[in-house]
Amino acid sequence: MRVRAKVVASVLLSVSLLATACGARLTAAQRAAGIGALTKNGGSTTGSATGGTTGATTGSSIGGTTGATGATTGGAAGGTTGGANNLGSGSCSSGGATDTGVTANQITLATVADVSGVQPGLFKSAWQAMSAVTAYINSQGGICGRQLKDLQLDSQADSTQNRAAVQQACTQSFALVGSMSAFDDGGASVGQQCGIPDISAITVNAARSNASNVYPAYPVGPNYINTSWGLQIKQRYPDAIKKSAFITLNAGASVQNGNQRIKALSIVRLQKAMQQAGWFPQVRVWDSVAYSPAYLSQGGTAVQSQPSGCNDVLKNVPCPAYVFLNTALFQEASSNPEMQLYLTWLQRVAPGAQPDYFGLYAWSAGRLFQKAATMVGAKLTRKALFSALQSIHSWNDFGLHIAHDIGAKREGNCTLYVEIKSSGFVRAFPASGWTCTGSLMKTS
Amino acid sequence: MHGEPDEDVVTQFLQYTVLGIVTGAVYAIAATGLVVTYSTSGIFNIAHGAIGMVMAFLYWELRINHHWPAPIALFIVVFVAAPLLGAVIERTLMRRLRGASVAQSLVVTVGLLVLLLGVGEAIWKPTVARELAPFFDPKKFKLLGVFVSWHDAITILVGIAVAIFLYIFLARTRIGIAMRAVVDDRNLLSLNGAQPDRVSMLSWAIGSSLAAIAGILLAPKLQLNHIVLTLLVVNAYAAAMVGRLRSLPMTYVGGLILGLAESYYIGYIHLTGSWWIGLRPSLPTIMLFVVLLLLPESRLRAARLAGAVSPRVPSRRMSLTGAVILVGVAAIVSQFLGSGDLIRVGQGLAFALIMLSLVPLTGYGGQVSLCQMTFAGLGAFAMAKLGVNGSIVGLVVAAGLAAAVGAVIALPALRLQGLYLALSTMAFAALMDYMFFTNQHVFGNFGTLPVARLKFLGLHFTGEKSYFVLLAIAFAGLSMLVMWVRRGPFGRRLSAMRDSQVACATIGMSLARTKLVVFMLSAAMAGLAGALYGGLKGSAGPIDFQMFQSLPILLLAVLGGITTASGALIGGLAFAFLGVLQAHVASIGGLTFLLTGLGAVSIGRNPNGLSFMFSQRLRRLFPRFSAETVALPEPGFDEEVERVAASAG
Repeated sequence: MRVRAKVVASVLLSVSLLATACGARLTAAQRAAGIGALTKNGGSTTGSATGGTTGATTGSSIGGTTGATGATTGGAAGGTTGGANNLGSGSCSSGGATDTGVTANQITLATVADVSGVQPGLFKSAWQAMSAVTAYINSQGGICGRQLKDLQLDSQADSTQNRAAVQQACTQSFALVGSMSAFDDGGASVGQQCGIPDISAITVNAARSNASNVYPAYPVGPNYINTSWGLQIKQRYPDAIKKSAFITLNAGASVQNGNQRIKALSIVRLQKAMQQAGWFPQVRVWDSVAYSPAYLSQGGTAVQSQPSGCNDVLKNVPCPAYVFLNTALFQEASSNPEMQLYLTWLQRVAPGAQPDYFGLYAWSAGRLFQKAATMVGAKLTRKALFSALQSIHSWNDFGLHIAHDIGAKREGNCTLYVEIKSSGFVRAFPASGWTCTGSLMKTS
Repeated sequence: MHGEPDEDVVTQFLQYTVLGIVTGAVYAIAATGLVVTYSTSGIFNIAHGAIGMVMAFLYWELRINHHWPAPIALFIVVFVAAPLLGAVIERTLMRRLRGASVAQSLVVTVGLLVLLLGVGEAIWKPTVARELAPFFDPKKFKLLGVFVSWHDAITILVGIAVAIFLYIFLARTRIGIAMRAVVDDRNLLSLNGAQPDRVSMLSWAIGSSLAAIAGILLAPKLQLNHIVLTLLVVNAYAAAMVGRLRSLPMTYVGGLILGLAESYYIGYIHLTGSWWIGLRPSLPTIMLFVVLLLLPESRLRAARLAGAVSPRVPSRRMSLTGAVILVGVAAIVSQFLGSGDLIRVGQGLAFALIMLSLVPLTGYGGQVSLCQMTFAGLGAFAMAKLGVNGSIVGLVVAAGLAAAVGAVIALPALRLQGLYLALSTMAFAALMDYMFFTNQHVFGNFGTLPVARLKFLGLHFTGEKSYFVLLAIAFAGLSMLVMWVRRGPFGRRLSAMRDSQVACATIGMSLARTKLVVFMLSAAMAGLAGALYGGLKGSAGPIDFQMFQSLPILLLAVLGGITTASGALIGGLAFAFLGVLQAHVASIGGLTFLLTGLGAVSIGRNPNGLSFMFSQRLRRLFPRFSAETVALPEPGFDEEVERVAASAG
């Protein structure tokens, strides 16, 4: 008996030894990283935009504070019932079992996220956000009389597991919604082959972005860069940009793009080294990777505007540190009903959960699904859903983020800036909403 | 650098030197503990960094979370908790490794690494950000135009102090000498009145304390991150090698050389272009490789035959039967598994194939290789490039390319043995990670390459079910090949090489040729496995075949039984089983780490792994069955006996 138990225990050995070491793939990238930050496009272009752009149309804010812009485009019965941001359940009633994962009473969705692995909890926020959004939608009556159910699959920070999870979703669910995985290339070909609609939160790898069945809520294009953020800096600091540097992390971008925490810590280390050396550039600009409480607490004074050591060398220069964002600010929830919905429902399904960038886009993916499915109506099929998604060219989830072109899989070109001060993230410009100068520039 | 525009060359050089020394001190501290552990226990502790990581988190817990004063927190962690952990590790794990082979001891330390990683992540969840501020932050002073923080200065001084203290301790004190003696000759030591068990516990306790010091000093500089701290020590292996795993002053010098080399490289060598980007991070690895090759030739040691009961090699009939059964079972199972699980279990089969490549090399031949995943990656790459549309040419080239690279690696490694050989394969794998796999010309920018599934003789193995069966067929075929090798004269040469290289040399057997051939064979098998694995995934990317994944491959293979093909199958299926379990039971994650600990312990008791244990039980349950196999003679033996008898008249 003793021996058998040991045998069993030994057999149950840790495969996750492999799974863990599969997560160890993150580590070599870390080692290769040295220091640096990668913007989401990780390109090799410089920050200053060249292409002719229209004059600064600052102040035009998209997405507003009141959510009345809700159900505008297309749409079966527009949602005017209920509160703001209501897509409504439409005047349709269920059409029975019309496709895989759809019955008369229920639509099964699947969310694939990296949750276990060597860095556990990596994208758990996507699962939590999907739980929240499905609970919310169900509380509003579901979609065409069908309640939503979310099948949560763990891709375990491994591309083969991602493939297996997508394969499982193909047969057990109607659509993939809100997925978030650093290794989403694994499921790219299998999802495309089986034709499952894939409304990922954010896609990380080019293989997944380019798959024909994938329509992410945030369609990051690996070959494009949004120039609006650079233009803002160019306008405000015309001298500083004459000598600018673009920092990237060198390693498979698939890993780095996924692991925001590693990137954020790398930038923290860089700035601490700057502080120690008593040197700072005039302006520091980081992407959304820095927009987290962890970044503030780990960075301390080194990551803030006007760090000590900056003024010594560059007299009278405030040395600001900025972060540019394409999402609404968590701290402005009181004037953003959709943000309130996300935050409240998140706490309802997962008390104590931390809202973050990925959860926000997963929520948006859920709402995008709701919109598209409502457009389709009672006869809900995968084919019809694809048509609906392809017809949506401006999706901002009621002001939760900037408007992206879902059908064309093109991200929007607006941005807002916050400054990192000792009190935290403080909105810098524009005064509200986002500013939409610039355009999308092709990098390769 | 920054600063005054009219700096002269000398000042700049001095600045880089100062920076290099700071970095070097970091490496030196990490390496010192490793050397102490090895020189006093004979075990190369891959989990050294993991111990430091746990202690750094413990320090954070006491100092930051509970606001204990720094001196008290330091004392508790470095002089109480760490030694305790080290003693426990020695008592439960390392004691059984007396006289174990290199593979076994490496594998147990890998198991320990995973266990500690799991414990660390369970207690201090990675989703919460933690920070350890440097000591006396932000105080700093200026030295030769460079700002050096007090923390950095403390790091340098502590490193020197530790090296000096240990040097005196190990060379001049009674207990220190006993610690060194316990590795050389335990029995003699106990005859002299010392207690070897206690001495071993002490040496592990000291090693752990040193790991704790390294972790606490380095976490503020890098990150308080589980993985970074655990694997940090790998870069320090080169420094440890400069000291030949024996000399502490030379280890410190090695660390300095490494730090300075990196600093001067950053300052003076500006190679651009995608082929050179990977050079800077691979400097420690390159140095490791060079140092290993330049080490004076080690003496051939008389072998220690620990746990060396070789399992019986199945007869031709039995291996064929086994192969057919395997394929049959796979065909049946494939009808019942869900398509997601087919991929997960298929991954297990693919890993079983890679583990199978270790059987002739490590199992039969006793040469430890830590780069099988690298060969698999080469195979996947070849398949991606040349096996377009699933052509079998891709598989052939995969095996050939991997074999060719295997030969290139084997050549410098021919004169290395045991641990040094293992480390040189590890260095090679790390080098490939940095310079080949992440190169954008290989897998593209941000990229993965699509890998096709095999199409052969009109059979398209594109569906999940058929590919699953293909993997089973491949495993069955290759395991029959492996067993055929074992039964033949080459297999006997491998066995001889594993048993005693001295004896081989005395009978005039060419060790070099045998090593070369077995390396190439093993690499070819791994390359083939990689090509098939790529087909399973549908793609291959730079992060799929990293060096660190070779460690658990070795661990599972040894656990399953590295001396048998069925052992490789058990290892792969164990992986598959847990993957399926994790997919269907979301909360199981942390449990796997604990199970690893049990697995690591069991290796000490069963050096031949689970498959041997199973087969022994089978023999007891079915004595008639085993009597049959006992009666079968080794093929070829009878003919030889007759020939000898005939020639004797």
